Amino acid sequence: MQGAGIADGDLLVVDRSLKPANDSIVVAFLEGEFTVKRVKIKGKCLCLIPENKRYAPIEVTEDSDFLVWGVVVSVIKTFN
Amino acid sequence: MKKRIFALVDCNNFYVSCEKVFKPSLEGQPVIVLSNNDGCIISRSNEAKQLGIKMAQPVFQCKELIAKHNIQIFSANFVLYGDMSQRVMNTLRRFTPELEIYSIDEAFLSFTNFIPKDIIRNSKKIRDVVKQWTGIPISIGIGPTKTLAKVANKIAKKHTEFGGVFDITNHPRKKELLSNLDVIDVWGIGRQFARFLGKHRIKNVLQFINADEKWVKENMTVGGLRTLLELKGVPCADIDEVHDSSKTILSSRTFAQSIREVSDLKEAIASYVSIAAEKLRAQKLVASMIHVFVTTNRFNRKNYYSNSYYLELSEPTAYTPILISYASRALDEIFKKGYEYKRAGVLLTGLCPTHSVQRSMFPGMTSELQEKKNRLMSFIDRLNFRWGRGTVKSCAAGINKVWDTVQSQRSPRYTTNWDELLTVGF
Repeated sequence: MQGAGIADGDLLVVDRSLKPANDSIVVAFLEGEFTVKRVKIKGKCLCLIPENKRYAPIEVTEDSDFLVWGVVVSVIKTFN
Repeated sequence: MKKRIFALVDCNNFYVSCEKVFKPSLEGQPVIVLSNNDGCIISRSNEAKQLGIKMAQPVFQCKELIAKHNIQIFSANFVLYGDMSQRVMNTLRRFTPELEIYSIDEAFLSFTNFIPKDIIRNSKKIRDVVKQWTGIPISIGIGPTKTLAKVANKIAKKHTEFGGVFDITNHPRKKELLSNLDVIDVWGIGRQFARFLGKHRIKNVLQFINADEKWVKENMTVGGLRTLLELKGVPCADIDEVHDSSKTILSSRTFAQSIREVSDLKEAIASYVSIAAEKLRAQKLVASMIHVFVTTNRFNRKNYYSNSYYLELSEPTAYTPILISYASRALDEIFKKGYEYKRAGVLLTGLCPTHSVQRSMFPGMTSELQEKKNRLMSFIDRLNFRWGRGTVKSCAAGINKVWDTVQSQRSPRYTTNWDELLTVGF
């Protein structure tokens, strides 16, 4: 998630009370794992975009084992 | 006066639901949570219930079922459950100022200010918000009395067609649903009363509602009559915002391994006294009696021993060292050599507010000394709150703790411990 300024070891502040909007960064539960992704909403279709360009976007279908767990509102970095 | 409307909110399979929030892959799977020391089953997912796992069942009795169906097991994580409970309660508080926390997973709410035709819609909204904000699914029962709200909650849970919300007030199916509910399911009717009613051919709630009031009062005391009146829609209890659950304070555990030595048992008891005394002080109470009990493994009938003893304190107190010395004396009265002790505990009773204490005729300490002791206790409590229970403790509570609890499969304390936060991948 370098594009969003999130690096390995960062602390995410997650607000579960928010509903994801277009371009939200979310913590999602996808295919059995927690993952942080950017959300793109196009009509009824929801896409998860990894900020790292090397990975392909993931289109979420009705069959996907998928859950938006919460919306990331801040990131806390620790130096050293 | 405006007609009262009560709601009972109950978290579904609460402990299991807490685990599911941080491990969504458990959805649809049989899951159970075990009591301290992994002894008994204290929470079950719906899937585990369907497999025939019973509440409070010792876990060794269902080893085969667990293996056969790959049932997921968790040790109790009360730090997590307590914190999640607080989140649920704080969320509920946004909807009504009148809220009574009844237990870790239940609360009574006043809906009296809701417009009657909006009650179901509002309740569904509350349910959705609690689910989204905390991840915990709840059921809501609504009625003109607390007892009926509890009954309505049972119905909401039992009949999925109501979508987790049921208002029993003037419901067209009220009679039918009540006739399908056993009297034992009513709040305030224990096993003894249920058996008594059964003998008189009163088995379901509708039959009980039609019972004669005078007969109920004569045979089931005023408590039984109150339950009956509440079921008929006459409120006998209101929302109790400062819930007085603390008539007694209990601290007890099952040991990880059996204890034979009196010295080990004394350590365990001292440690339970410390926990109980901390709770006592947190509620600004003092105790006037201390009960100590010990028991061996109840499944070993051959060499079974169980006993308890209580002592009245010369002066009510919340001072840990005094309570420990009384507990130790009480233990000396009941300890017998040659047994393998499996469980022990202390119970503090005769609780009263610190400020209303009657001083004894020959007070054991001057008020200056008393003040010093109070300051010491409150300082220790703050340290332990800040740095974790047991940071500062009485030496009597032991260092090695052969008796300490086993929690072999406890999940991380996701919400209260920086080192145990949920981790997510990219």
